[in-house]
Amino acid sequence: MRESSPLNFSRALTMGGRLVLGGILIYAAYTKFFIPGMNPHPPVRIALALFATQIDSYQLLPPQAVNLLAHTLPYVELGLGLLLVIGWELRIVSAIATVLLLGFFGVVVRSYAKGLQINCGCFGPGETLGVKTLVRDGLFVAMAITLTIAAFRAHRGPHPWSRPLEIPKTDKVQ
Amino acid sequence: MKLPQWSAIILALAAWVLVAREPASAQKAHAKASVPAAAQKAHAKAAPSAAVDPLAGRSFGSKTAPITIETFSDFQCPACRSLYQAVQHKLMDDYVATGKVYLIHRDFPLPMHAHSREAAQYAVAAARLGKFEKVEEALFNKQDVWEKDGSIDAVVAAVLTPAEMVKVRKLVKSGQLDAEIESDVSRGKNYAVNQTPTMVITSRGQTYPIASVVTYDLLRNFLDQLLK
Repeated sequence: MRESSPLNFSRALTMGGRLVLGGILIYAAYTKFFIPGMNPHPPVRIALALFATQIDSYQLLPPQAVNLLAHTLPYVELGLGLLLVIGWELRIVSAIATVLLLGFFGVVVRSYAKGLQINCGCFGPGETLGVKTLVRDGLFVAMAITLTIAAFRAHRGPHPWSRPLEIPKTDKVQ
Repeated sequence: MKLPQWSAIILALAAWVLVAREPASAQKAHAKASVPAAAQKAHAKAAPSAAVDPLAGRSFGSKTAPITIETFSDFQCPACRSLYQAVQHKLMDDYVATGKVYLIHRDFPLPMHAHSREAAQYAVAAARLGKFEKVEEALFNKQDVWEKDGSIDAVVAAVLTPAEMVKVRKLVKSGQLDAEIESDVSRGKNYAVNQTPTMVITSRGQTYPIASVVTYDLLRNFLDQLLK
């Protein structure tokens, strides 16, 4: 497949990566707005207040900051997810998503190392923080980093050592 | 020919009535014999009774409150002590005493804690005498002491009269309290509780789990949202 083809491997991988990562972020936001497994869904204000208690269990922030984070983070996740899916300014959006996921991963590792027996809160209530959470979040971070690198590489011009583009043949000068 | 058909219909109706009257498993504990209104008040002192109501003395507030909180707790768990010390009294004053919350203590002794089951037995025995709150407070506040050497009896004896202590010891030795504790544990497992403390908050038919210690301000915010 030619490099310039819209279906080349690198481009397909980037597209798959941003769709998967975007989908994960959108789902994460969904589980915070509408608690999964509850029918009918409780109002969003209740779901966000419950999410605040889950953030609080990490014992990192004062209550006011926890409340602020609980009422902004799901919107940030939703926004980033949508931007990743549509592919707008991929370098910037994927870099922000990477920083966000690295932050989550760091907090989860810290809590696990401290032996906190808490709910992860990543995708709604009910998931106890454990090795499975660490591995999954680590994979998300790896995916985000790969996507960001791919986005930057795709945007960059050809490498100075790369093969020069073919110059169309012209008539020799007499 | 008609008789067997009618009898089948009557039997089916009787079966339906019996099934319909049987409360859902999640509601069984609440559906026990009703207690007098006075006994439903917050901080009510439950009268000593032999296995009349397993929640007597361990539940506080009005059963008709819009919110029910079941706290699955282990007396030897440090996080449970933190939750108790940070939340319990404020919750009782702000929500239980005002009829907004029906609070139930559920025992969920973890196998990793050597003395937690025995502590739960003492607490359930004290609940039979209407002294649960005193014993709960003593067990949590003196957790550092008894978790090392298992001196639960001494800690409980410090807050009960000698006569009450005799009754408590008799109940603990009888082994009849294990069924109540096991009932709490199996109820917790139905809610997928796998750690302590876990608060299972029920409001308008929806159940919300909060596993781990929660700051009172955030719990209050959540309860206020439920009450809106």
